[in-house]
Amino acid sequence: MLISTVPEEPLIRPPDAEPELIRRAQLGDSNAFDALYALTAGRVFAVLLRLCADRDTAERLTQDTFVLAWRRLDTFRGQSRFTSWLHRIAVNVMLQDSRASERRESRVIAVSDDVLHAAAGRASGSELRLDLEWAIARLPAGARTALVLHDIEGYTHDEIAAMTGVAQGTVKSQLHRARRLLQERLDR
Amino acid sequence: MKSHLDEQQLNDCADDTLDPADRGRAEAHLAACDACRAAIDRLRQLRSELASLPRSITPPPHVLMGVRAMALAAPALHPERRWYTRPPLLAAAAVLLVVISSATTALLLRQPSGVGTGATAPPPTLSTGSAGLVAVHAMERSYEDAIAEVQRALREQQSSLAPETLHVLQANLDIVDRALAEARSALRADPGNDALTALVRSGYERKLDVLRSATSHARARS
Repeated sequence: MLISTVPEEPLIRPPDAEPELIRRAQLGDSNAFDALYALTAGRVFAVLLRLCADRDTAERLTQDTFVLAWRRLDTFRGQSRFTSWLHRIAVNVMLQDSRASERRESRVIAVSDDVLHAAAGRASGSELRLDLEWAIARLPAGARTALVLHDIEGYTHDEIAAMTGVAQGTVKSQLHRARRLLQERLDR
Repeated sequence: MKSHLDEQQLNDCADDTLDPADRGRAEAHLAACDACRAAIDRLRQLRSELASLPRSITPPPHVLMGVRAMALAAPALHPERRWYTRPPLLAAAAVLLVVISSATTALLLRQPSGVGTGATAPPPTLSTGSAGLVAVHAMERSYEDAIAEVQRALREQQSSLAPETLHVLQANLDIVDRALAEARSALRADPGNDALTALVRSGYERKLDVLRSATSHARARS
């Protein structure tokens, strides 16, 4: 194999591990970057899985996000959370993906069940979550982006506007539209 | 009663982001309007359900493998120029890893693993200290033999595969072959390069993986 095994994320990691890992990774320590990946890849993949509504695309863009993160790591100054910084890169990568928009629109219906189950989790209420994930995946791309970033990830309208390059008012209207469409689909 | 709150006002109420100037008017309306109160409750319930969705989903292991191949080898923080800074080879490394995650390959790889392919055991690995031209030739010959054997087995079974599966399988193999050709060409020019040797070996392994999985899939369907 070209690559060694995947690092296991420890069950317990000291809360201050991330800054130290970032510092070491910025000095070129690839093991530290591996550990950062283990800490944060799930957050990036979850966002991209929902934004893209397509597992292959989400995997590819997760990879692209971390490649860019590695290359730009020296520009991270700790002024935001590391996951927020990664999410900004992920959204940029998603938006710049030249083929994404057309394919995403046409493949929304083809979201596979395993993706939905992965996203919905297996905990109690998973049927409801499954319905919700299915409805999210069927939203128009702009509305889906606003909803995922605001209502799931907790970013503000301003932050989403900065991430996506869309006016704040447009983000709000897309969010409201997404909620309306979700309610209509969940009520059926 | 005055007209109902509009969509933006309802959402602003649900998000608690109403301007102070509008808040009083909205509250006065809500005090007398069951429909708008119910609409806000539904929006808050939706928000609560959305907030309960998992925010972390572990990606499959090959994503990290791709990151390592493409990023960790890249000299972003260390400016010395190395073989993998050459775009065609970086692309080759990427293609070799990306192709394995394509939809059809994933479909094939999800098939039962216990079905034999009739292929030989994996070709011998090459020690990093012996990556001369002769050793490279020996490695390539060994892989080519193994690939030829799996291809023979696949040809016998391929009638059980759907035409579209065969089409995508061939497209994937073409991609692997192109990437492999890039890596082999580079290795010819620099036969002592262990990283290039590993890249070539990885390409052959990918090709074997795809062919073996396709053969297993075909046998399972026949």
